[in-house]
Amino acid sequence: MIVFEARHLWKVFGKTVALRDINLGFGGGLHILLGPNGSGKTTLLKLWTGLLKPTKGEVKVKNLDPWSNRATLMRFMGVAFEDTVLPWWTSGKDYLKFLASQKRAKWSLVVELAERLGVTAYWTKTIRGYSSGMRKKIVLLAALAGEPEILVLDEPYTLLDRNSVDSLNQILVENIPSIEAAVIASHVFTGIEERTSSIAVLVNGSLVFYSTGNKLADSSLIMYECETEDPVRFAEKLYKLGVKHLEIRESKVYFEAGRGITLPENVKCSPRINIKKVYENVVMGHRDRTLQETAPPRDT
Amino acid sequence: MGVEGLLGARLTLPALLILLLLPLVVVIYLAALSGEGGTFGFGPSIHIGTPGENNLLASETGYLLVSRGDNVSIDAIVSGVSPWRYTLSIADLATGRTYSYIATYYSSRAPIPVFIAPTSSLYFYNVTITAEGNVSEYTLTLKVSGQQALRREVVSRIPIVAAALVGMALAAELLSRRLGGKGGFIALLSWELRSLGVWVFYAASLYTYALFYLDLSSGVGRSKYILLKPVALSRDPDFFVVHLLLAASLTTMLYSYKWESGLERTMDLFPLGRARRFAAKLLVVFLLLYLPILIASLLVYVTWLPSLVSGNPGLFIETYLMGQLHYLGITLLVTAFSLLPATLIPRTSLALIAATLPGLLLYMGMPSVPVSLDLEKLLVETDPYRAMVPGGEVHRLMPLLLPVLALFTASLTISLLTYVRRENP
Repeated sequence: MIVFEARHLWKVFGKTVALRDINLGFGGGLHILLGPNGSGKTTLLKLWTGLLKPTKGEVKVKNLDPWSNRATLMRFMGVAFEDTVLPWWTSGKDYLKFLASQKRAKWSLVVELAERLGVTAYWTKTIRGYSSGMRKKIVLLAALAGEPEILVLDEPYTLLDRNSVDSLNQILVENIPSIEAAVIASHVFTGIEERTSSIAVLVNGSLVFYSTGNKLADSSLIMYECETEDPVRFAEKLYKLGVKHLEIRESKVYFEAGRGITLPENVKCSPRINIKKVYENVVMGHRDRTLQETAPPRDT
Repeated sequence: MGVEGLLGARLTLPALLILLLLPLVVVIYLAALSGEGGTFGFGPSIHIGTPGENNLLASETGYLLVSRGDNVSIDAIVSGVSPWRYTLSIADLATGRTYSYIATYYSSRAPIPVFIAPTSSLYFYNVTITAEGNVSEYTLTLKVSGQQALRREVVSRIPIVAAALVGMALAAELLSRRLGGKGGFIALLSWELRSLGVWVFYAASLYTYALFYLDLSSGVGRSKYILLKPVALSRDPDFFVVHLLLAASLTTMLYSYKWESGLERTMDLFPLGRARRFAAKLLVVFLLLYLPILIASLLVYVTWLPSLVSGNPGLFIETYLMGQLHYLGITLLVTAFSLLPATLIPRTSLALIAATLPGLLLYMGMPSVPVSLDLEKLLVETDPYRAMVPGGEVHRLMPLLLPVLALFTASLTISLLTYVRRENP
């Protein structure tokens, strides 16, 4: 079943076309929305969360029109936008308490999440005095509170320190099985993208790439992380199999290869799709095509 | 920790709002101390002609709003008639007790006794002058005059009122803590109130109102609406300007500023419909504009005339409600003026100007405004206190309420539609 849907979607702000003819559907699982700045990721998420109305076309979330059913959707939707403004006159704890009361979320679960994200250390202070990272964690916590069925996170990793990124990823990994669908828009790669069910890339308001995780695994180079007692010998074997670039770190060997590579049975390997590389290839490819289309004709 | 933190961190909002009445009690205390020796009166009314049925020369009724110990005399000067009979009855409308005086005089200027009010209350008086013998023509002058005594009763009641307020604040605190943490509309309302730093607006409105209007001086009038004297708007109609400015600040803070700052987008991510949030904000505006007036005036009555409030609640509520209906009209009017720009213009600076100017210009009497839209005149004339007529009826409240209701409904509808349908990028 498709959870997030966009059909012939256009969004125009004055003379700026933010999204042009987007046709996209995300089913269950984790989905990554990628794209450079100004590509329309946040606009698409705002359309899916009912903050904006489509100029043309339609958007649906769980078969509901988000614009006219926003309050209903927010009962089971957790949303965090990069530019979310927090009520600075109150404390983070009071804000979350109010949110929990409105979402009918269990306060004990909110406290548990807050502890894991390291929010309880400062949440009784007034938000006015928080750093950007501290605010970001409150925004994320607000999205995760109330055991949401659907999660929409816009740039969740910016402004977070390494520990917080790890904690957030851990929480997401634990919750993904119970969440019906989650969309993360980001251009920071932290490892969560390895668990994605699909990725979509937007550039200049157009959808330039979409693929499910399985298709990507079939068509892309896969990043392998293998653990062995004799990494040097294993590296030699890989070289003979045609792997040109590899990296050895202590007992681990990292390399890229196609899905068809036959690996020794005594070596424990975990394959990962290199989403970052996929994204870079897509964006570079799109840029090259655009340059070719706009380049002046050569003299013959 | 700022003042807001200092006051707000430990106390819940209802308790805080009750405690903010304590300085108002002090204002009442000072007013009670300062009024001694002040005079009040009515008339003189002159009657010329031939006697009516039963040799009646004149009969007058009226109401006295006096405090305990105040002196009141209803003097009569009668020429062309001798002897003449003076009949006076004064009824305490709180207790129903009646005081009567009947005397026959031979000289034109008679030594009429002085009535010393036994309790602070609203009294109804009826004075009748009749000729004892045959007479063809007469001239009669009636004059009601009085002198205020020190408000000892009020002064001695101040500690009790203050203690009662502290007790009420404690009860409100306990109740609020018990009910705290619950969701729903009350939680939303409380959230909007807190976001506004509500006590600042509440206190500003309360004390502005107190400075403009609270008046413990005694009075005499033709109708029972003399009871509205302590809180009458027509005493200084410029209060409308202050009220308009408060309404403009509140609406622009709640609608324009929250939109401009991005807080509305944050609230859009809550499972709360926009119509519900609009209603909560409007209720906040209404509460902060209306509640201080209601509370401040009630406090005056409870402190000054408790026997009337408890002894004749029917009369008190009926009269008081008429006054409050007038304020309701004014509150709706200033809200209608400021709500529309505050919701239509998402820039606070522009919205504040637009929310203030039209009402102000109309009030100041723009040259192009037709006479029927003379707002200042309308506000004064529709005040029940000013529009006292014999028989106690108030004829002129509807001319204010009906157009105001129409204006408010139009403003509310357009504002709500704008608020609900606007995108939030």
